[in-house]
Formats: sequence, structure tokens, C-alpha cells
Amino acid sequence: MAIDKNSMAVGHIPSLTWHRIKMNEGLVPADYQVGGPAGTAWRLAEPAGGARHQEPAGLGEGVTLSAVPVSLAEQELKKIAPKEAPERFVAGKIPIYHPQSFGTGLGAELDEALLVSDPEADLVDVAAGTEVSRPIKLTVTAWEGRAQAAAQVLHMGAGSKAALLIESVSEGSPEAEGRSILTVSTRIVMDEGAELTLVKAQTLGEDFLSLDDLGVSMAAGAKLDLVVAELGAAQSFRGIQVEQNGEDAVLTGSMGYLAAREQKVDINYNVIQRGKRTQSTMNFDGVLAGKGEKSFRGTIDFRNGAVGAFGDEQENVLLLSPDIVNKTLPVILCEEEDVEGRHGATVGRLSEDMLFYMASRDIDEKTAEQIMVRARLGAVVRRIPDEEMSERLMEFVEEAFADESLS
Amino acid sequence: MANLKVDDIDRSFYDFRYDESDSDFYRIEEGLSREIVEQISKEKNDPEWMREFRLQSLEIYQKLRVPDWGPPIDELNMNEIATYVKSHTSMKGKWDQVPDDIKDTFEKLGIPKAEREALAGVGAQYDSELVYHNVKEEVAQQGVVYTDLESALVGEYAQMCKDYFMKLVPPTDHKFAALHGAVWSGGSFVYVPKGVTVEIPLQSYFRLNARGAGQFEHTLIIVDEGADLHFIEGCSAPKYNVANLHAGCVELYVKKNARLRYSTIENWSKNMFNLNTKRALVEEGARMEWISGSFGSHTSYLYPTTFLRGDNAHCEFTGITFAGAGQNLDTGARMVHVGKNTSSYINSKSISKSGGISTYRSSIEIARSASGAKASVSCGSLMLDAESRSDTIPAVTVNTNDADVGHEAKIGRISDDAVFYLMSRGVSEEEALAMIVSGFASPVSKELPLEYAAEMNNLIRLEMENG
Repeated sequence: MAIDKNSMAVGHIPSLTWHRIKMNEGLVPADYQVGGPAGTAWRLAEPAGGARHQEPAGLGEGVTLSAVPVSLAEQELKKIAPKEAPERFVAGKIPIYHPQSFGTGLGAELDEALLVSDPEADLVDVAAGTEVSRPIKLTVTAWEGRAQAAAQVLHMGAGSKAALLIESVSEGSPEAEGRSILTVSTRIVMDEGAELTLVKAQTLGEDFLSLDDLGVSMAAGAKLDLVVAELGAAQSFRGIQVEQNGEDAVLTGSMGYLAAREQKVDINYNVIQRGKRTQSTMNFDGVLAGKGEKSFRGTIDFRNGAVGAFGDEQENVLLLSPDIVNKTLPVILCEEEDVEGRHGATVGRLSEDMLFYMASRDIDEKTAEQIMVRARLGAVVRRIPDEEMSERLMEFVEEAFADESLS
Repeated sequence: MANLKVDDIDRSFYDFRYDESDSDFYRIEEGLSREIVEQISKEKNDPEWMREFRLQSLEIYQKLRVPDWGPPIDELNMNEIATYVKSHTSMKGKWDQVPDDIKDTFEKLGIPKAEREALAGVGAQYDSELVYHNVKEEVAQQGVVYTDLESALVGEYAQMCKDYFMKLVPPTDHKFAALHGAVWSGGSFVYVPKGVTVEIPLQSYFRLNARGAGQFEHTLIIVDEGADLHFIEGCSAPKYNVANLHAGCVELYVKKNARLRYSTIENWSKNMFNLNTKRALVEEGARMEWISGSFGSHTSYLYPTTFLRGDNAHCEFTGITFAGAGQNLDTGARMVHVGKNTSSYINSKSISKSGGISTYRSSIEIARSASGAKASVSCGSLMLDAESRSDTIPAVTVNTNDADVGHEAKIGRISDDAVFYLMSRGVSEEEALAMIVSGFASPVSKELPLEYAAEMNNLIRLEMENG
């Protein structure tokens, strides 16, 4: 495939298919740059019931937070990450064309771009056995007209338990006239038995280019509950890679996305199941309206030895306009006999039966669509263990669909 | 010469062969050059436009790259492949006139018997040329044309051939389509006139007997408005320890309200690189049905493609792939919806065993014009051991909201409970496994005529017995 040599290709699918259908990777526009640091604010969520307590220093007992350049964070990551050499082959047979020392959804090219600019990264360590009672919240603020980045390396010690909520938002900046870009890189190492609820939500302004990357390594018995909301920005690239290295590691998750007006959303999800009896279940719910475009690549990769593993990936896409473009590539790679893998996708508009049912209750088509959008994205957002954040995200969706031009 | 060390099952039923002596066979030198292509064109008495077409295709071939997304084909060296091998016999219309060794080959494969009992016409290709072609009198009287493509190119249907030949699969499509355009030889031309229903199937059987050779037959079928045809394609080859190449091309035109069923049982030997291209253009209200069983070959790239151009056109693809030891079979389908209210259904099964690799690869493409389109894909993969590999890579592209697309895929192993249940009723473990695999394959076998379903089940049994 002819790729503009100035473009950065990210989110490579592990096993190539026809170049003609343009789904092997996402192409980041040539004017992309990492830029300087984005604003980051860490805090603990308000306690349940709204009662005000004095905030503890930092993020609570057993949690340390420090800021270092990305290049140093990379070295710290190497110390805590599993020690396997970078993969050169997928399942020993298909050559990987972009090997990466710590796997992420967007891949090695973004790592390299971050190392060149070397912005600040936050190192968070949750000590072994620590249970963080309230969600840790990180707000990444990007200013319009600038390129900026934020990176996090999170280490969940053995048996630790926490929730991390990362929200990317933007603010207007009258002086700046450049390209609005935000890059967020999150890499997480989960030791044995660690449990994490991770939320990543993006509600950037409509001029933004967003790159949001995630890589998670899971040791035996680790549990990850992942919620992703991809709602804002003009163009976004979302990478998610989860490597289940240990036995009985469990991933559950939901992602909701919205591509309206002329928004373009590119998603690469890749779960690698190496450990025995590992489980992954991920649902993707999306709404395309206006001239929205979406490309979704999702891979479940069962490696030899993943005896008794189970992997499931489902995608439901609601199409609200004749001008949309929807691309879906759900992949299963398998070299283990004793596994159960499945994926499914349904792509379409509201059924005639549904519209008839709604009409019989005096609900017009537009309202019916709004109800379905609310139901679909609301089901994802409601999984966020922070009322304030989920309400804000629902408001974002409501505002987006209050605009008649969307559908 | 690449040495293909493939552990093969006992498939002696297909492996018999007669050595081809220089006195009985003409074999062009190995490799691919302008001189070789011109020589093939001369041997075949091509019309001038075809000679030019071949040379243009060769130029395209030399410019295009080998695909980087599929199974490796490094062991295939075109400098070691003879692209044209021909028996000195001419094509016969009567079975007893076919040379004994060739006749015996097809007798063993059951072709004449099938012709007598279940077919409306038969074409038999041996290496690069057809050696026998016949169509039943009553079918010919209906106006059905079933002949070798070479005859069609210069006869009454010359203009029709020129109008349709490699228009659906242009040489620019991919490297091996260009190769086909340069060196094609043999194959069939079928024309079913408007409103004619051919009650029993036509069949072409392709046998590549020569060592280190290629077969590049071209099948061109036009089913005119309101007509109906079932066409069966079979292929096999004896096993050698050097690479053979099959780069055939099938172009199917299904006109308004017509129906075409195209069934294939592919059982090339396991030194074969099967880089085949099949494509159909389906007009308004017409129906295309693909039935595909892929059992043989060392490496396969095979994705029958259907363009649903007319409104209300419909296509179904039912396929099974069985990859055993040493095989890397990359198969699937592609559906392109252009007309309104078009519909397609893909039902694919794959089985991997003894280190075999099977990949299901597909693409559903719904154009903006295809309002009311419906597409559904269902694929199941069965892993019979942990040495094998099974991948599923299905793509869906939708450019209108007025479409419904569903996709589901499952991968897994044979359930211990099912085997235990059968064994508790006195069935041996081996039989139980074979029964379950045959059941898994039944959506394909039940779509085939009885004789072919029996052959497919025989192939499954052979594969299951191995190891």
C-alpha cells in the first residue's frame, strides 16, 4: 500500500490482510507532532455520598507518584515488565513487522516519537497488597492550538487493588494558532493477583487530533476491568493491547465511541492470551452519524499453551446517516487446540420493528435515535465507578446529539 | 528446484501417475520470458489480439510484487516451472479416442462414469490442454455451448469471448492474474442461452500430471437472462517433491434473473501452489452460489469474489478447508454489494490438523449505492491439535446506513462430552472424531451432488486417519 512517507502508521494489525481495503493500520496525518507536556492533575475521587474529608497527601498510603522524562520511565518499565525479548513473530509463524519491547495498541512508531520529544511521564507505583479505596483520577488537559503529550507508567504490585480514571479534556487558548494535538500513552504492569479498574475517556474539542495508547501486561491471577469512552476530537487513534502472560488472568471491558460530523475514529484492540485459563471479554458499542468514519481492528491472539483460554469480542455499530464509513476487522489468531474464541459484529441502522414500536408510542425517528444512542453509550459510561465523571460524559453525548446536523 | 518436504497422507488414490515421455508430450522450457510467452501463443494459434494481450500481461507481471499478506510462497520459483506442457494428442470428442494413459487416469478418477450417470457434459484437461470435451446431445440442442476456450476464441463466439475474457479479473488485479493472462492455456467456455435451464450439471476436471509444471486454465461462463446452470470443477494431481503451480482463472457472468451454482472439490497434491482467482458478476435479480471444498495443495490463496451489481442480486458462499500436515491454506470469500437490496451469505468452515495452517480471510464491502443491502457471515474453525494453527481475518466495510451486516465467528476444539457420548454408545474414539468432523463439514457436503459429497467425505476420512 502506498503510504505517504511523512505519515506515521500506527495500530498495526498483527496479521496483515489485503492492502486494498486499507485496514492493516491507521495513518496519522503528516503534521502530527508530540510537542510539549499537557496539563496533568492527579487526585483521589470524592468519597461516596459527597462527604468532605481532608485530602490525604498524594494518592494515599502505598501509592507513590513521581514525574520523570519518558526516556527514564522507559527504563523503569523495563525493570518491572516481564523479561521476554521483543517479539519478532506472532505465534512463532507470522513475522511481526514492528517489534516492540513493551506491547501497546498503537505500536513502536509512537514509542519512538515520544522518545524523540521526551515529554514528562508520571510513574505511579501501587505497592504490593495495597487496596486504594477511592478511584485515582487523572485529568489530562490539552490546550487548543498546541501539540502536547502525557505519559503514565503504572505498576500494580502483587495483590494490589485500585481504580484509575484518566480523562482527556481540552480548553480554548485564544493565542495559539497551531494544530491541536494530544498524545496520551499509558503502560501498565500488573503483578500476580493485582486488580485494576481502568477508565480512559476522551472528550477533546472538535479540532483535536488525538492519539491515545494503552499497553497492559498481566501476571497470573491479575484482573483488569477496562472502560473506554472515545467521544471527542476531529480525528482519534485509540490503541489497546493487553497481554495475558500469567495463568487465570481476566480482562473484561467495554468501549463506547462516537463518530459524528466529520469525526474519524481509528481503533486497534489486541489481546494476547498466553496463560492457561486466561479470559478476555470485550464489547465495543459505537454510533456513527453525519460524515463520521470509523475503522476498528480487533484481535484475539491465542498462543500455544493457553490451554482452557476463552476470548470473546463483540461489536455493535449503530449507523445514523447515509454518509458514514464503517470498517470492522475482527480477527482471531489461534495456535492452541483447547481454547474457545468467538467474535461477532452487527452493523446497521435502527430496525423497522424498533421504529414501528417507538412510533406506536408517539416517539418520532429522531427521538428514537437519541434514545438508542443514550442507551448504547450510556451502558458503557455507567460502568465508570465515578458518578461525576459518568454524568459529565453523558452530558457530552447529549450535547453532541442535540445538534441536528449530526444525523 | 525447491524441495518440498511434505509428510503426506496415503492418498494413493490420487497419486498414480504416468511418466511423460518426450515423444508423447511437448514441454516448453522452464521459466518465464517474452520468448516463452510468444512460443505459447504460437503453439495455440492465438488471434493477434490475444498474442498482444499475453505480452502486455507479461509486462504487468514483471512490475507487480508478490503479496506480502498471505502464506509464504518463497519456495515457488518461476524459473523452475514449465508453463506449458501438452500431449501430442488433439482434443477428442469421443472417449475411446483419448490416449490410453490419459484415459486411464481419468477412468481412475471416475470422470467417464460420472459423465454417463450424472453429468450433462464433461471437459477433461490434462496438463495444459483439454484432451476431451463432450456435451450431451439434448443439452446442445437447447443451445447450450460448452467447449474449450481455444475453439471459442476463433469460432462463432469469438467476439463474445473477446468482450468478456479477463474483464472481471484484469491482469492488473494481482501478480498471478497477470501471470495467468500471459500463459493461460486450456479451460472451458460455457454459454447458456436466455431462459434455458440445464437440468443436470456440467463438469470440467483438471489434472496436472507433469512434474515441475504449471496449469493456467481459464473458465469463462455466461449464464444469460433467466437461465440456470450448475457447473462442477474438480482438480487433482499426483504428488512430486518439487513445486507445481496452479494459477487458473474463473470468470462468471450471471445475467438478469439467472442462477449459477459453481461447485469445486479441490484436491491438488501437497506440492502444489494453488494461486487461483475466481470472480462472478451478478446482475439484477440473479443468484450466484459458490460451493467450495479445499483439501489439497501445499499453499493456497483462494477467495471467490462476487460483485452484486444488479438490484436484488443474491450470493451464497459455502466453503470448507481442511489443512493437514505441511499445508498452509488461505481461503475465504469476498462480496461486493453495489445494487439495491442485494444480499449475501457466507458460511465457512475450516479444520486444522497435524501442524496444518488454515486461514479464513474475507471482505464484505457495501457501497453507498447498495441501500437495503443485507450481508451475513458465519465462520467456524476446528482445531484438532495444538501443533496446528487457525486464523480468522474477516473485514467488513459499510458505506451506507441503510444496510444490515452481521458477522459471527467461533473457534474451538471437539468437545470431550460429544466424544464421550458417542463412545458410550459403542463408537470407537477414531470413529467418533471422524463423525464429528463430518458433521462439522455437513453444511458443505449436503450442498453437493451425492457423488461429490461422497468424495469429500472420503477426503475427510483420509485426513482423519493420518496421525
